Amino acid sequence: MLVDEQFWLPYHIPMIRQTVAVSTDLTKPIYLPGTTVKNLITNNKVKVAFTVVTDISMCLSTYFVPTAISRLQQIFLLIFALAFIYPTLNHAQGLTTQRQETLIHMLKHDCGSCHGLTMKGGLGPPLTPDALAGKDIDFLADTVFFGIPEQAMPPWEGLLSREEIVWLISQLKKGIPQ
Amino acid sequence: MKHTLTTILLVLSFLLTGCGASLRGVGDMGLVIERASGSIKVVETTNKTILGSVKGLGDLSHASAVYSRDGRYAYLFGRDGGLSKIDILTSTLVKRVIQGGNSIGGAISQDGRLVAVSNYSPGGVRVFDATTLELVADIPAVGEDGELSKVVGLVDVPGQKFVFSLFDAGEIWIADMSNVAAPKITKFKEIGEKPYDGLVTPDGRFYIAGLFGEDGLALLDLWNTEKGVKKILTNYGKGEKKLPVYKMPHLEGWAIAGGMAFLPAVGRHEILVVDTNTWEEKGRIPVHSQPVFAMGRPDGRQVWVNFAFPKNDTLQIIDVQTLQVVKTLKPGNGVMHMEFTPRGEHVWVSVRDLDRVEVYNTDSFERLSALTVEKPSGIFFTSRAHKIGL
Repeated sequence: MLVDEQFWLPYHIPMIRQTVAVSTDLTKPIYLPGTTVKNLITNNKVKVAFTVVTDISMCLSTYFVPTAISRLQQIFLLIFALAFIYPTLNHAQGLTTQRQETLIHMLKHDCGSCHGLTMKGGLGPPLTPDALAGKDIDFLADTVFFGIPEQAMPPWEGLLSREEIVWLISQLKKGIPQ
Repeated sequence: MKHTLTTILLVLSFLLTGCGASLRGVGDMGLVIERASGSIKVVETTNKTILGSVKGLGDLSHASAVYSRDGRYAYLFGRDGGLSKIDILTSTLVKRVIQGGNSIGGAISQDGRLVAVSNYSPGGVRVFDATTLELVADIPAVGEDGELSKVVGLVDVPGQKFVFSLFDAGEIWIADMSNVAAPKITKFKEIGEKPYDGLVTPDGRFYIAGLFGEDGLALLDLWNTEKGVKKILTNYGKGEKKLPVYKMPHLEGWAIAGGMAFLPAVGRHEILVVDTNTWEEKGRIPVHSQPVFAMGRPDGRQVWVNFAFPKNDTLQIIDVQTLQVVKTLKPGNGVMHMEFTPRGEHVWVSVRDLDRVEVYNTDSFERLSALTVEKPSGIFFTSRAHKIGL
């Protein structure tokens, strides 16, 4: 079965999502930050994929390929993949406090040169929790990563990792302390 | 008893006025914006000291200032739409009004009686009485498309006029304020895609808007407005891939010397050199990164350039005679702004991440002094009071 991604993944809640998948030959885990499970499954690259959502409460959601496997196999694969999820989880929270401070400083002062120091907007649109409510994290992360060439938004690829971008967006959705 | 009371009052009044502080002029004074704390430092350039501080000025993350013609009052334009009138002699806030939702800059009229503010939201220009800060005129920037447009590049020009650009609509407007009750607006349409800033030449004749959405600049000859807006440097950078711009360049304070103008390119790590007689490209000077400000020393011999994130730790100095970068300085992360002393022997530099304003000798490039200022950005000296467009 292919579960509806929206059902499992509350996009509107700011969280850090990490995708861990197990390749079709069941030999190696694929760690793909910022890749949606739906894409992986559609491309038939994986047998089973797990999206780990980390926040205050941690939850796991599991996705299965349409060519269904038995319940027993599912459980086996879940245990198999969990072994790889733990290091990934650490990675998800792997931004050091120092790096987080640097990122917030950058957000306020450099992103702030267009979006405003308090994120209320300027030449660029506001990035307040209200303004970002209901907006998909992947969409927002893509916008930051690739930029919008015809507008004034530059791509941050090369300066920020996907993980850092997702973390910053989650902070913005919560509202950054002034 | 009556005498005692009089004496007490006299003593008190002396204490309150700073013990009868000696008179001083304002010609060597200025202010530095503290962008994160919504405050300013009042400074003087003769002994390079901080004289005072004014707090409670709102969101100054993008702020600029103009001066009354007597140099005593600074009008500060904050991002949150705040317009503050500051007495720099006493370091006090005289009056503050929230005049819009999101503003970007302002200008003072030729006669010093009007202060205009350009707003992102609601898009337009509002004009205030310089003495009372009362609203005297509201000019919504409704473009040809019928929508309100963000306003950028607001400057004052001779004839009691303000000129500004409409970012979204791609228009340049002239507002003649001779009759405050009925401003006369002249509009120039289809001037180019997304003008992001504007400037006027020091003689007040040419208004130039930088374009983000296309190559080139829009030029308006204010002595011959019937000729309309002309695009210049349209072939600049054709067919080249633009580099990402992490901070929009500013055009204020550009350098004009020896018949040449120097301005920051957009999306290219170059300073453009333009012949001010023909308005054609005369050369390009490769620089460290995306330039933000290219500011001419008052004598026009040097142009000082700072840069956008992530390479904003650097200053480069261009020699106007040879069109070469002659010096590269690395003051530290977040070099936000530079301001020259009135005759240019020193330059003051804001180094945001070091919480410092540094003073350099412009001939020897020696660092002379460093003042502690919290997250400094714009530096504005009173010498601006007597310059068109500043």
